Amino acid sequence: MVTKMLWMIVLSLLFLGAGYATAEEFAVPGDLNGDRIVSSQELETAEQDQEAGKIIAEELAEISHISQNYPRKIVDSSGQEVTVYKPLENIVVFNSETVETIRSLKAEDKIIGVGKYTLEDSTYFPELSELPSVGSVWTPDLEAVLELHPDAVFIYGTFMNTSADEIQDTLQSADPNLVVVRVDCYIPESYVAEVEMVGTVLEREEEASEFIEFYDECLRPIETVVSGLSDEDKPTVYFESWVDYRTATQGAAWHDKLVMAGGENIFGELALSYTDVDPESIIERNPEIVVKLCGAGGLTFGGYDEDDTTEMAALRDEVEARPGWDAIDAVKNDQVYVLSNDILGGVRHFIGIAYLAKLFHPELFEDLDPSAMHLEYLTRFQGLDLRGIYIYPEMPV
Amino acid sequence: MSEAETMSTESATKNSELREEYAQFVGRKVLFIILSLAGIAVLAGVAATLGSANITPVEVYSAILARFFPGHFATTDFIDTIVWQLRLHRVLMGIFAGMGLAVAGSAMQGILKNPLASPFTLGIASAATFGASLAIILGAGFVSGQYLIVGNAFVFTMLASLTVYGLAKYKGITPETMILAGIAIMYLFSAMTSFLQYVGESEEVHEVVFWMMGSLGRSSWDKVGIIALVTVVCTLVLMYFSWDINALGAGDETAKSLGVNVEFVRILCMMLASLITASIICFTGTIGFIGLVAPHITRMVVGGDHRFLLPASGLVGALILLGADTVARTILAPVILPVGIMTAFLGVPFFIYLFLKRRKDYW
Repeated sequence: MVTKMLWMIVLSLLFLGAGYATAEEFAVPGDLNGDRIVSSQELETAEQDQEAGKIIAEELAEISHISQNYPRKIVDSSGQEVTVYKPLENIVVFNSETVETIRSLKAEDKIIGVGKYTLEDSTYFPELSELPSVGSVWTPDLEAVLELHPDAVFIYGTFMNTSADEIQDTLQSADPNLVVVRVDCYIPESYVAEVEMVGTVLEREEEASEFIEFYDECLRPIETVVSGLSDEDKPTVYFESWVDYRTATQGAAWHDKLVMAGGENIFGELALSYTDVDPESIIERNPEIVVKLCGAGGLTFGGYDEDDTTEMAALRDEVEARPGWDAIDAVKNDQVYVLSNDILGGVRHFIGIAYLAKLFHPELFEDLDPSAMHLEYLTRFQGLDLRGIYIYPEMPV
Repeated sequence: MSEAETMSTESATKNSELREEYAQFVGRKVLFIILSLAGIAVLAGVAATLGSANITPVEVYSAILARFFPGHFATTDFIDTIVWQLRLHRVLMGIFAGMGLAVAGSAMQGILKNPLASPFTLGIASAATFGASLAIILGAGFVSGQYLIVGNAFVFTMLASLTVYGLAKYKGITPETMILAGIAIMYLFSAMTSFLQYVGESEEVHEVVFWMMGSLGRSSWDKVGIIALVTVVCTLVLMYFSWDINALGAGDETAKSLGVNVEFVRILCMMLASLITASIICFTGTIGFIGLVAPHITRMVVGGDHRFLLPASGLVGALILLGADTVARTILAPVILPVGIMTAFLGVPFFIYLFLKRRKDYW
């Protein structure tokens, strides 16, 4: 009995000790008064310490870097103010869109843990496929996160808010020094601002502006042309997900992308985001262009690593052969396209928008080359050498 | 006149009165069936004219008649396609699916002597949902290609009823053992579906939710053919056993003394009801409400004689589902709401009305 109690005391002391050790680890180097900021006075002290041989030159360099560059403040997409007191070297990222963004900013070597969807996509994130998993926003493995002792954790900013809030609260109550950054990285309107935020907290401002420049070059010409179009110039489009007769309407991300590309969604006025529509109503509204999405649900083909158009062609034939569809202009004029979700969802939305813009307005976007854009993005920003089939039938360049 | 003779005359008068009363009751049942049939015909006629396409009812009917009397009625290819390829099979799907689910429900309530029984109580809906989820989330199943979800839902449904049968057989086939085994199976499959939803991606989970709400949107002539065949054949077989089901209502002992093979009838009817339900919900997704409520509505009117109850509740089920689907198609057109939502919206108030109006204990 007594031995048992003694053991328990010893064990709890050990845990306490471990707790202190971790707290120490996260302290800001050079900070003496505990405010996590290295003031010019504290920097002087560090310089004297180095002269006295108490610290080495590298340590002084780090302290002076922190003194000059920190703290850094941003307001993230969830509206929270985030303060970073020292360089973030080890980060955990829950959403794969943010992983992709961090890779664009050449900071992927800082990532020490990722969500399960990043791990499952070994085609697109090959170099990260060996990292430990932290689960997903739906089913986070918070112990795994804490065990990695990250400096910062990235979670969705506006998507799955309740769950993301819970993750943030739990992690920060376990480790008050942990930086939590909430960014979505898949919504066109907020993407540029989010790239800047990520660039700021990771000290990748230059890379961020380089990427934003590229991103703007892709989208700005499309925006300019589309904003000058009147409604009559925009082709009517029926957009269908991988489920038959399920379309996107006002409030859905797909609808927004379609509008950005200069199309007029035939079901745009319904305010239900994603919904099933009456097959007759498609015939009745007679779209000039039909876009059918593949790459998810029951249609897992197309996109990266695809080298065969058979299934996409069969899907297109199937769509065109639907009862009554021979009366639709899009079918009569061969304007039914199968598009891979690989380029329409997530970060690569701008590639998808470029493809759609060229589909909708071939004569206005004669010079636009979405596949070259895509290739540049993959090689220059993602460091990937990927081939695939993203649209069927292929558009003339 | 002797005393005995007086008595026999009296009993004869009483007999003929009873006969007359019974004939009237039968007449009412027959009238109810005829009215339901007429209701379905009218509703189907209206439903066929409703849709997004701008076609007048006259054009719709000429398109229908043109197939039967070519030459006498003129139509265009476009109208013909809309009516025959998009509308009619959906209307028929509503009729046969509603009929099948209701017949299965009343058979189940009859053989289990329980007003809450329906094929869904015996774990069938949750088994079908699990099969479909398995196909949607993991892409795994017994058949491949476009019939993956359908095949999975069907196989798991039949698997669930066989398990219920096995468990009940082991303990003796009584209503209690079957319901308890069914509830156990139901919870097991629900838990497995929840697990799949837990590990699935949001789009897939969304897909499962859509499937669970049920829809006639996936109908086609082939599917209508399958559902109609299974429903009609199984209903006829069930009606053949309707006297036996009636006898079960008086208690297992009584039924046995009347020469009914209680266990055989109970198992056969359960399997037939499961087969009907499985072949319908594998195409439509789970439409749960009809199998429970259509038999009750019908029982309030025609009573508990299964010779009439089975076909009549089938017709009531057809009316409810067809009506619900017509509303689901048109109320927010061109958006199509899942019919499972609409059946409950329409059926429950009607059910509550009947329930409150009829004071006497009808069950």
